[in-house]
Amino acid sequence: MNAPAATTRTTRVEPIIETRGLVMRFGGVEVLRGIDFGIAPGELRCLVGPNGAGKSTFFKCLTGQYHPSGGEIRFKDKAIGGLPSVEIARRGIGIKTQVPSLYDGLSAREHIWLAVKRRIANTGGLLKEVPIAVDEVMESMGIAHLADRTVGQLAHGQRQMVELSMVIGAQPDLILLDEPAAGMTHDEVERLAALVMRLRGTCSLIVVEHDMQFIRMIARQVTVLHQGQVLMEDDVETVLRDRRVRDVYLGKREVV
Amino acid sequence: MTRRASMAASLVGFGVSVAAIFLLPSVLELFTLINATIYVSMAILALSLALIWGYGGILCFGQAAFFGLGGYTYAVAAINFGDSTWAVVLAMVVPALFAALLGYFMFWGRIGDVYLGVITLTMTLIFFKLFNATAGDAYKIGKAALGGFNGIPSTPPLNLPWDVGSPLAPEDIWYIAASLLVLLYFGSRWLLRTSFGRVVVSIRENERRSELLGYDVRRYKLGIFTIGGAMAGISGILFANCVFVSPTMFSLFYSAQVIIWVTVGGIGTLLGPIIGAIALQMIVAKLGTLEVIDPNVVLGSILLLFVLLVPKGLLPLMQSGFDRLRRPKAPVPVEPAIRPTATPAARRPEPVSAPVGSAPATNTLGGS
Repeated sequence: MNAPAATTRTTRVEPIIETRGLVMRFGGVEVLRGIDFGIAPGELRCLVGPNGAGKSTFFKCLTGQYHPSGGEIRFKDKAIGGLPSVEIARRGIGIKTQVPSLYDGLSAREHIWLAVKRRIANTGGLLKEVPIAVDEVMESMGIAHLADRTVGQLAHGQRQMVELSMVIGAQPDLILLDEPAAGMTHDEVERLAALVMRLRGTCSLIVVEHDMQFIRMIARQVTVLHQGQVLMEDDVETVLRDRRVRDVYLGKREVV
Repeated sequence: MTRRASMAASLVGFGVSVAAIFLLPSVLELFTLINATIYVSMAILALSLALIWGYGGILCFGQAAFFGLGGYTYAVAAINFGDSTWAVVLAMVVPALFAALLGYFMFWGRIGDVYLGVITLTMTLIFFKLFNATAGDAYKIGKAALGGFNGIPSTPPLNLPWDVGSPLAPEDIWYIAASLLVLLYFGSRWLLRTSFGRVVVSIRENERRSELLGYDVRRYKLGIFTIGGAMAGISGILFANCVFVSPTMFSLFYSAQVIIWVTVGGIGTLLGPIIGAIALQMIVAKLGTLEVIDPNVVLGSILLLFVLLVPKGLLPLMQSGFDRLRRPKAPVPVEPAIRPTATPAARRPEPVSAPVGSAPATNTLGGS
């Protein structure tokens, strides 16, 4: 598809997802304070920011788990703000949540089956294609050896991979990854980075991550969130060099 | 490997149950056989809750409502039609429709687990009060007088389809009830292997995840709830044939008992609740004749013991014991492999109402 670096400068060129003035309030607390954000189809965007910047809340708004208090969300040129999560999922947004969200009592294969079955049923395919597609996904994600294991008994890194495979197996147009590298070993992080790079171009991705090593491995464009607003948006090196970003992250002094 | 073992176990189980169905009438006295039929009808009720609660994750405290509705619908329809054929069909359809209606409001209204229990229990008690208040000639549906607290003692027995002249004998009712139990058990196992069943189980495990994959969880919950309602209706028909219908079918006693059977037998299994229902009824009946101790006290103690010491229930306990005997660390799932841990309702993560985690952090950074 289109080369990400070239198109990201002007995200106004048909962004796959776009938010305008997105606001999320909980009682008196304004967690998202007017976020303008957008990425081009096929782009990989990293979203960073200190704890409490509103990253996970932002994801929950995009996936319909929260209904925004204000502003607009457009996905594939249609307003999706406030739609139920089922509807948004069916339109092609997949998410790997921050705390792994899995079916602890089920096997890894069953996880992938659920994702693939939904996708194939959605596109009007035949159900007998499902088992083959499930095997393909597990093979390509390198979790075939875990297929019959109960996911509740897997190690943390393996669980992350199962959830990731599930999200990818559903083949959404936009994938949201909330801290995918959390709790992974160094080797696992490298494998994950390779995987994310492979996905880039086949679908759009937004990755929330704290691990700067990981971000350097995968990122071109980075958006920094701070106190529910976009602090800056630029390529990875510029962002990491930026004084304000360092202050925000290291908390040396107040940034307003 | 385990699949073949589970197939073998199913075949053996099927053979044993078929043998039991045909042997018992020649071994047991008529009175005992009728009691056995009651146990079997109750086992079907337990099976219906095993599906709804153990696999659907819906703690329905009002399974007795569908049971009672099935019984009353059967009695009223059979009296009016004179023929039991359509009465049987109606007695499955009416509880199923009622379950669908109730389920629609509960699942589309996104009622939480606890409230769902409260609502279903309350509904059962409302039926209990309602049918208790139907004494007198004013309360008649067609030719059938509802009879208030006394119920409908003249509940007609089943007859051969469209043949009013051939009412069935208690032995025949036994054959029907026991065959239905076997049929519904294997039917439930089949159901849980279908796409529908697999999604239902996934919703029990993690409702939010299924939703984020694009499954409309409300429809699946409604589906399994309705199926459970119909099954409880069947149980009501069989019970009505052994005893007769009365408001006690809607009583707290039945609502609570079926939950005890499922808990003791093993939540998340199908065979466990069936065993639990039959074994506990036999124990209670035996204790009742001994007149040493109030059977309900014993029933309560058994429940407490199981909740505290064997939370997984009888069947998983027996299975793990069996596995340990055969060879170490080789699970043989007699049921479709589902891990029955704590009660599904209790295990589901709480819905997040406000991001408590992120709000204070914003404050510390912003200093506001």
